[in-house]
Amino acid sequence: MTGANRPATSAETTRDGAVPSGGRARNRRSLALIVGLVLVGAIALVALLSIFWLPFDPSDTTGGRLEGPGLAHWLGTDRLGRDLFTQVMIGARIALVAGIGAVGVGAAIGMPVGLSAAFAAGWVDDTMSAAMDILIAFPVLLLAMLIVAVQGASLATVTVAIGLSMSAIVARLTRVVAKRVLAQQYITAARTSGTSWLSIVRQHVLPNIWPTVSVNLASQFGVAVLAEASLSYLGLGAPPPNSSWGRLLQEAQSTVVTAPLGAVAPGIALVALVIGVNLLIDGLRDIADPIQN
Amino acid sequence: MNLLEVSSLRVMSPDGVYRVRDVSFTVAPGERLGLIGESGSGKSLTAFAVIGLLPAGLQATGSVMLGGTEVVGAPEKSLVPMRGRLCSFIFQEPLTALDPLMRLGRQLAEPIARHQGHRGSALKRAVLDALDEVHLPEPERIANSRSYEISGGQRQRVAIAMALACRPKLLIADEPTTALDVTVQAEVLALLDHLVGDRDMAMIFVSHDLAVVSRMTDQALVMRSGEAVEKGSIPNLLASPQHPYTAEFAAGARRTEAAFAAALAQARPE
Repeated sequence: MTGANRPATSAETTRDGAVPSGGRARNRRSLALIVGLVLVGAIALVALLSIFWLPFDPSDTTGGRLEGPGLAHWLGTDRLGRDLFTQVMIGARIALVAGIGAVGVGAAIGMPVGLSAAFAAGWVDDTMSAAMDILIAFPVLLLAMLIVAVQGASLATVTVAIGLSMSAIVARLTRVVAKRVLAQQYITAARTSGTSWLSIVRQHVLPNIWPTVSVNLASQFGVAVLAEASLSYLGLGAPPPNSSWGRLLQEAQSTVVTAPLGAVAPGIALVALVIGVNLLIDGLRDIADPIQN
Repeated sequence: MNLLEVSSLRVMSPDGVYRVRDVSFTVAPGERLGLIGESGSGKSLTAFAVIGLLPAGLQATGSVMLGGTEVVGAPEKSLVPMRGRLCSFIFQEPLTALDPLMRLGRQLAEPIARHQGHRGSALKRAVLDALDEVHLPEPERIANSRSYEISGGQRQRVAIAMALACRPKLLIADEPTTALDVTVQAEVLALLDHLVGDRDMAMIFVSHDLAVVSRMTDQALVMRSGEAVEKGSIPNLLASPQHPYTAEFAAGARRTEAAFAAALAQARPE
């Protein structure tokens, strides 16, 4: 009797104990996903809209200077009389282009380099790893500033510069994860059946490093957006009138006491995008990882 | 002509130690050979050297002629087309030998497409047939599962299906049932025996267990610390081992055999 009862009781305890806490964790995760989706989605929509429609021309200085929010100028105007909402919209586009572009450049360079290092054993790997470590020792911002200083400030230069500076981080992560995957027996098993290295990379290595690498790339997106804002703040970003949020912050700095919205609006947009992306990653990672589920 | 001729095979590790020393044997088409030894005896390395897939840093010397082609020292480029077609592998732990992120059907489709040239619905049909051949129930469901979603015995059947999909002339089974419990082990061995026999394939069966080997092959090579200590027919090795090391295996074999008998006796009535 007791023997028959025991498994049932233990099954009940696990059922009672495990599911609610798992359910809570899942709810928290899906909440993060929803908040992330809303934040990123809203900013992406605004950025998309800015391509087709803007309330004002960004170089239109006909508005009054430093007006407060109103029906004509939703967020007011800056010290030159330009519409602030228009500029925040354009800033959203620039932030997304810079973020996606920089991550794209970082992945396009970093992943092949990291994969090659993982395949190449011995001194080639050592040399590549040392080069990565040296590059990583320089902060992304410093390297990007160096490149922008040489090439001149433009959105494209800033994006590529941030991407290049990030590629070392991506390469190092790719190398480590790929090395771990290459040591797995399913790689040996694929080789014993005569699969070529190219197909092994495509079918086994890339899918197995992607969960880890993609999460890193996504978090690099936040870093890239912040880096672009910082560079623009320093006057090294996209030139006006297409100002990024960083430049808006810098321009509003002198009038922050009289017209705080000029700094607060781009600041909130920047924070919302970075937090939104991070929440989105957290939520998506849990859905995307089949093993964890 | 022999399918496989291994002569004076040596495998050296980076620190200059010979992990396999002067091992020679032949396998004719359709012949089966057991490679027996404790872990670290060099039996698995010998098996991997046959298709030129030694772990990084290990260096093979001597000669391995597989299907008339020298494997030792051959460039990777010429080995890739030989692998699978001439010789394929089954591993000890099917959980790690299958990609956890890839659905089993797709994994199985890869060698089938490459070696048999099927595409589209013919490929899907061939995948399900291959799963059916290894007596997997509900091939559709297995094909749509990932490796960690099915049982150990089922996984090893999928691995066997993958190895056979290449239609190899030689199958190397490296401790294929060690990770399974005794009942499942007996079923998988019977399946392997039947499939290899049907296809007139040659087989190298690597194991530390003489009892398991005796179910699969007649001939065995006993290895110890990289050297072949004894070679002969299994009944002879069991009855009159020439080397004390072989005698230990013979004693172990009798214990395993008893466990098998018990497991089968339990399994049969159902």
